[in-house]
Amino acid sequence: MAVCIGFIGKENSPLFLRCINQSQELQFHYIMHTCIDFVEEKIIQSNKSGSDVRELYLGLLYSSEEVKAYGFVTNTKIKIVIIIDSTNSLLRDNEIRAIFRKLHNAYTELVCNPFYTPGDPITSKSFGALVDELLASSS
Amino acid sequence: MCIMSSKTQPVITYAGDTQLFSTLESATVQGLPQETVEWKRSYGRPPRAVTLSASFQPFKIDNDGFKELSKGLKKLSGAEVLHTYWVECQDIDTYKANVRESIQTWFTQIKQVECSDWLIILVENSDSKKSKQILPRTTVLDKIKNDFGGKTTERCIAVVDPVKGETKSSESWQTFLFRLRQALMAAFSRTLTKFEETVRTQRERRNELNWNFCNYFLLQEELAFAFEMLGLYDEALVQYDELDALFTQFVLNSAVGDAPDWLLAFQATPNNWSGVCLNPKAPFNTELRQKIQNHTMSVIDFRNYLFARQSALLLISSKPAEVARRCLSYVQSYMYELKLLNVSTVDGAIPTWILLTCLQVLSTCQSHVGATGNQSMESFALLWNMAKDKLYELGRKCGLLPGASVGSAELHCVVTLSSGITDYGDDSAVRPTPVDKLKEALSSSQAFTKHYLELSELAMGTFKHCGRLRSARLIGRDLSRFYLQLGQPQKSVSFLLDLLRGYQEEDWPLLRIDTHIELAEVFQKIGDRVRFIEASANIAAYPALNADTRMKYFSHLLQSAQDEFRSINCSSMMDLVDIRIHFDTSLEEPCSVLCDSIVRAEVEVVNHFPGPVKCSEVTITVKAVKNANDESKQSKAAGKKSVADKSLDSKAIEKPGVLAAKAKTSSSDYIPIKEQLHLKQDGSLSSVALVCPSAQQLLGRKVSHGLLPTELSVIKEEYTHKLSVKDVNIVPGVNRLTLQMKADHAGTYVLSQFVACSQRLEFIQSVNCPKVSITVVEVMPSVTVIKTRDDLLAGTDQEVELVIRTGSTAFQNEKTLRLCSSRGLMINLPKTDSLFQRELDLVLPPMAAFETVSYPLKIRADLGFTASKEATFVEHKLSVHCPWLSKTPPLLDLPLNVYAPFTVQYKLHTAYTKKFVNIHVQGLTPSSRAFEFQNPNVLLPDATYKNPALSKLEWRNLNGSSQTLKISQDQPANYLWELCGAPAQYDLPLLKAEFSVDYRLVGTSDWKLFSFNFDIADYATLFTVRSRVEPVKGNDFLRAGSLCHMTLTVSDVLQQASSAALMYEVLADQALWAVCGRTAGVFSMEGSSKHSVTLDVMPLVCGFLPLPAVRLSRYIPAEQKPKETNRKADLAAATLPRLEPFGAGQVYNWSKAQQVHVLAAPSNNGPTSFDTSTS
Repeated sequence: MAVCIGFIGKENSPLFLRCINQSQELQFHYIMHTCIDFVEEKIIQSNKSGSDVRELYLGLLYSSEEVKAYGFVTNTKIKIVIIIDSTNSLLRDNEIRAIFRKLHNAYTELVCNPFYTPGDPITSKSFGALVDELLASSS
Repeated sequence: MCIMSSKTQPVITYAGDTQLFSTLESATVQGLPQETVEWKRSYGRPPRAVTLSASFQPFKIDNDGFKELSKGLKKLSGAEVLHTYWVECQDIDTYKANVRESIQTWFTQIKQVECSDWLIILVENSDSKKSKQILPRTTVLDKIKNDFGGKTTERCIAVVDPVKGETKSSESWQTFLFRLRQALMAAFSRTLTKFEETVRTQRERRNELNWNFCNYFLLQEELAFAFEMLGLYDEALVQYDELDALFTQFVLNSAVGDAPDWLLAFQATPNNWSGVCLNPKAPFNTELRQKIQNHTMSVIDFRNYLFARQSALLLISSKPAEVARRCLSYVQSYMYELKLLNVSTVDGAIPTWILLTCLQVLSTCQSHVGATGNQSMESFALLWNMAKDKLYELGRKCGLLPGASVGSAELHCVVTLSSGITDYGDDSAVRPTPVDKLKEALSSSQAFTKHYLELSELAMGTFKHCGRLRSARLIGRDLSRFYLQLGQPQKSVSFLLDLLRGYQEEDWPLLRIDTHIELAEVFQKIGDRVRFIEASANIAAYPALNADTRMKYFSHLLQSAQDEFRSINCSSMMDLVDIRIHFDTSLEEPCSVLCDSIVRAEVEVVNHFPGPVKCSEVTITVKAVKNANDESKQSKAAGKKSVADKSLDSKAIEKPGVLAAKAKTSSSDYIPIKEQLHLKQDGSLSSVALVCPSAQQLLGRKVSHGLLPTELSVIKEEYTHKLSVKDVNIVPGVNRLTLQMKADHAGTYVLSQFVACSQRLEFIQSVNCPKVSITVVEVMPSVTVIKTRDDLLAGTDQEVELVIRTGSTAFQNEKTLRLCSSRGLMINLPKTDSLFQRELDLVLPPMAAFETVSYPLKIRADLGFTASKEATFVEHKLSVHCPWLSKTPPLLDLPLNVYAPFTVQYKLHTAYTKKFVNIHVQGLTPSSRAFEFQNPNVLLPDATYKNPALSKLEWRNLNGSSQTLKISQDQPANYLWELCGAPAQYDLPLLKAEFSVDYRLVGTSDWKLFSFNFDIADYATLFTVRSRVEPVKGNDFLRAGSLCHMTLTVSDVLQQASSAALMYEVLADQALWAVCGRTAGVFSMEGSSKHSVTLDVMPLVCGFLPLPAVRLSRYIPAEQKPKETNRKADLAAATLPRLEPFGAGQVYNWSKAQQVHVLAAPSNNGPTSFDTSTS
C-alpha cells in the first residue's frame, strides 16, 4: 500500500511529493527528508563496492511501526522514495521495483520537456496524474 | 553451552575388551576434536571442515531400539552413531580360539540396531612385535579383515597402544584418530541425513490437525544444536531462521482465515514483558524452552526465545551489528504479529517490551562491538531512537511527562507494568540493567526526564556519529518539544534553529515553515521579540499555509514592527523580481547615464504577505565599483581583439558591437553580437548578418540546482547611493514602483540590496541575480585649439580656432576664460576690436551640456629666430586659465608650433680690394605660400661714420631697381651691396650693419618690415696670393707624370712692411698632384712687398686640372712669449710655434679656381715617369 511518492532533487531539495492522505503530508515530508540520510549512506556503500553498473534501486531505506520507505536513485542523483504502509505485506520487492521503473520513466519524460528546468519543483499536471494513478493502483 | 553440547554430542558405543578401552578412552575423547575433518555433504551442499567430538557409552542392546527403527529417527541428540569393538590379541591362535566368536556376536547385535556403523580396533603391543623377528604370514588384523571386513576392510584398524609412549606408537595413534574421525563423520553425516529426512516429513505434515508447531520447533532445533556443535553457526542460524519464517507465515495465514489450533495457545495474554534476555553466559534459556515443551508459552516468550537463540549464534560468529539490525525488524514484525494474533496485552506492555529489548540488545552489542568500529552504528542509532520513542510513550501513559498530572489510572499503569518485568535472575549482568533503568524511570517524573534526555542524547549522538545528520536533527525536534513541555523553551531554540538551517540549506519549504511555527511559539514564550518577528514574517509569507495562521502571524508582525528594530531577509516575503533602469541610450557606453542626471528604475516587487505593508521608504542601495577604469580598459582591449579577427576571415567583415540585454529575466551581462558582411567575389555586398559567437553557451540549457543561498539574517551593507521612493503601500501580489537616484559622481555602480522600511522593520534582500550595474558617465569640459591644415607661420597673422566643449556639465552663468600666450606670441580676437596682446579675456555665454562653441583667434609670432640655421620652428604655448572648472587643473597649456617662413644669411665677398656684402634669403614655405620682398636696404648705424677712418664708407647698391622678389622653398633670393671707401689698414673695427626689407605673404595686402642685423669684419684685403704652374724648361706643355714648377707669389697689398712671418701650405689633391719636396714653408715679407716660392709638382693625370690650393697663415714663432699672460696653462702652448689663420676677407687668392691643361704623358716613357712620381 504505497501511501506516498516523493522525488528529491540532486541537491536534496524536494521536487515533488504526493500522498494519498493529504493530512499526513507534513509527516511524510519529515520522513522523506530523513530518508536522504539513508540514501546517501547507500550510495556511499555502493560506491565503495566499486561496481561499474550501479543498481539504481536502493531497497528498503527506513522502516518504522507505521511505514516503510523504499529508495531509488537515478544516474543524475534524483532520488525517488516510495513510502508504503508497514502492515502491507502484499507489496513485494518486485512490485516496488516495477513502480520505481514507471516513476523513473515518468521523470525521464518530464525532463525531456524543454520547458522544464531540471532541479525546479515539478508542477507538471500529467506527471502528477501519473503518480496519482500509481498511488491508487498500488494501494 | 557445556550442558547443551554434551547432550547433543553423538555417541560412540564401545564393546569387547572394556578394560582395555577404559585405559584409552580419555586419550580418544581428547584427541578426537583436536583436528578438523572434512564433511562432504549431500544435496550438493559445499563441503565444510568441522570439529567433531563424541562421548562414549558401553554398547547395550535394548528393546526400544527396535521401536525407533520403525518410526524413523526421532531424536538427534544422544543418538548412537558408531559402534566400536576393542580387542587386544597377540596371535592368531588366541584370535581363533575366542576373540573371533565374541566379535561375531557383537557384529550380529549391531546389525539389529538402526545405526549400524561400526569399527573394530585391534590394539597391539609394540614389544611383542619386536620380539618376533620373522614376519608372520598372516596377522590378527588380516584375519579380522578377512572375517568381518567384507568390502570395507578399512573398518578394521590396528593401533599401537599409545600408553607406551613411543614414536611409532604416537604415529599409529594419530592414524587411528584420523580413521576414527573419518568414520565418525561419515556415521554422523548419515544419521544427520536421516534426521533431516524426519524433519522434512514432519514439516510436510504441518497442515494436519494434530500437528503442533512446538513439537516441530523442538525437532528442528535439534538440527540447529547439531550444527552448533559442529561449529557451523551459520547453518544453525539457518535452522532458526527457517523456523522464524515458518512461524511468521502461520501468523500471516491466520489473519486470512484458518488459524490452526496450536496457534491459539500463542494468543495467551503475556504476563512478562521483560524483553529479550541476551545474557552471553546463558545463551540457552531452559526456562523458556521448557515452556515450549509444555506448550504453555505466549507469543512473547516464543519470540524472546527465538531471538535470543538467533542473537547468541550471531554473537558467537561475532556479528553484533547484525543482531542490532535484526532487532529492528524483529521488533517491528513482532508488533505486527501481535496485532494479527489479536493478543490482548496490558496497556503499555508492548512499548515496555520493545524498550527493554532495545536496551538489552544495545548493551549486549556494544559490549561485543569493541574494536569492530562503527559499522553497526546506524542500527544502534535507530535502536536508541526507538527506545527513546517508546520511553516517551510509556511516560505519557504513566503520566510522567512534564506538566502531566498523575492520577490513579496512571499509578495503576506503573504498578502493572512493573509487575511484568523481571531481570531473569542474572546476577552477573552489569548494573544497572535495562530493567533497573526502566523501573527507575517509571518511579518519578524527574527520573523519567533524566532517562528520556539521556536516551535522546545517545540517539542523537549516535546518529551524528554515523553521519545521519538529518535524523539527528529530527530528534532535536522531539527534544525541543520536550523542553517546551518542561518549561525550558530557551533550550529548544538551538535544536529548532539547527533544524531550520538544515531545511533552509536543502530547501524544504514545508518543513521550514513548520519549524518556523514552532520557533515562533518558542520565541513568544521566551519573549524574544526580535526573532519572533522574523519567524512571524516567514510564516505569514508562506503561501501554502492556511489563511488564518498567516493572518495571525502577520498581525503579530505588524504589531511588533512598531517597537522593535529588525532587519529581515525578505527574499521569500517581498520578492524583488524585476529591475529596469532607464539608461541614457544616447551615450556610447552601454547601461550608462549622465552625471548629475536622475536615474529612474522601475522595480517589480511581489508581496507574499497576506496583507498590505506600508513602507516609509523603499530603496535599492547602490555601491560604487572600484575598478571601473580597469573594466573599461578591458572592454577596449576586447574591442581591438575583435577588430583583429577580421583579417582571419576574408569573406566576412565583422564589426564588434554589444547589445545590452534588456530582457527582464536574463542577466544584464552583455551578449556579444558581431556584424558580419558577406561579400561576393567581386567585392559587392552579398548579405549582412548579426552573429552571436557565444550562442552555444548562451542558449545552453540551464540546470537549476535549486539551492539559492538563503541566510537566516542579513546585514545591511554599506552603500554610497540609493535608488529610493518614499511612502508606498506594498499590497499583496505584484507591485510596480519607480525608484529614483541622482547620479552625482562618475563611475560604475552595482545594485547591492533591496531594502523596504516599514516602521522599524527593514526588509532586506540582496540583489544578486541579475547583477545590474550602472555606469555614470561624466564628460569633462574641454578647450582645444584647432589650426588650419597648413603649419602656422611666424611673422604674419595666422588664424586658429578656439573650441570649447562643455562636456556633461552645463554652465548656468557667463564664464570668463583667460588666455595667455608665451613670449614672442601675440593673440587677438578678430571679433573684438582689441589689439594684438599677450593676454586676453574671453566671456562665454551660458551653455548647455555637450555644447560646443568655437572662437576664431589670430596669432602673430615674432620672426626673430629666422637668422639661426637650426631652428625652423618655435614651440609657443597658449595657456587657458579657467578657474570655474573645479575638477580639472585650472591652468591648461595648449601647445602651438610656429614655423619660420624663411631664413636669412649674410656673406662677405672679396675681389682684390673690393668688398661685397651678400644677403641670402632662403624660403621655407611651399610655393603656394610664397613671400614677396621689396625695398631691400643695408644700413650702418650713424655712429659708424663718426669714426674718421670709416667716415668714407658708403654702400653701392648692386641690386636691381625696386623689383619685388618672390621666395619660397624652391626660390631663394640674393641681395648684393659693395662696401666702398673702406680704408686699407690693419685692425679695422667691426661694422654693425642692418639689413631691412619689406615682406608680405602673397595674397595679403599690407607690407611688413623685416630687419636683420649682422656684423662685418675683415673688410680690408691684406695679402694676395698668385700661383702658377709651368712646365720645366725645354718642355712646352704640361704633361702628366712629368715634373713642372709651381710658383707662388705672395704680395703685400697694404705695402706696410709688416714684420710678421707667414706660412704657406700647398694643399694639393693627391689624386691629381704630387708635390715634390716640402709642401709648406715659412717666410717673412720683411723688406719687400712680394715673395715668391717655387716648388716642384707633378700632375698625375691629364686634363684640365685645378691648381693646388694654397693656404696662407700668420706664423707665430715659438720663442715669442705670450703677451701679458703668465698662466701656466699657456706656457705649454707658448713654447710651440703657432699658426694663426687669416680672416676670409684678408687674403685674396688670384688663382683661385684656375685650371691648367695637362697633356697625357708620352707613351714610350710613361712607365718611367710613373716611377718618378711614386719614388
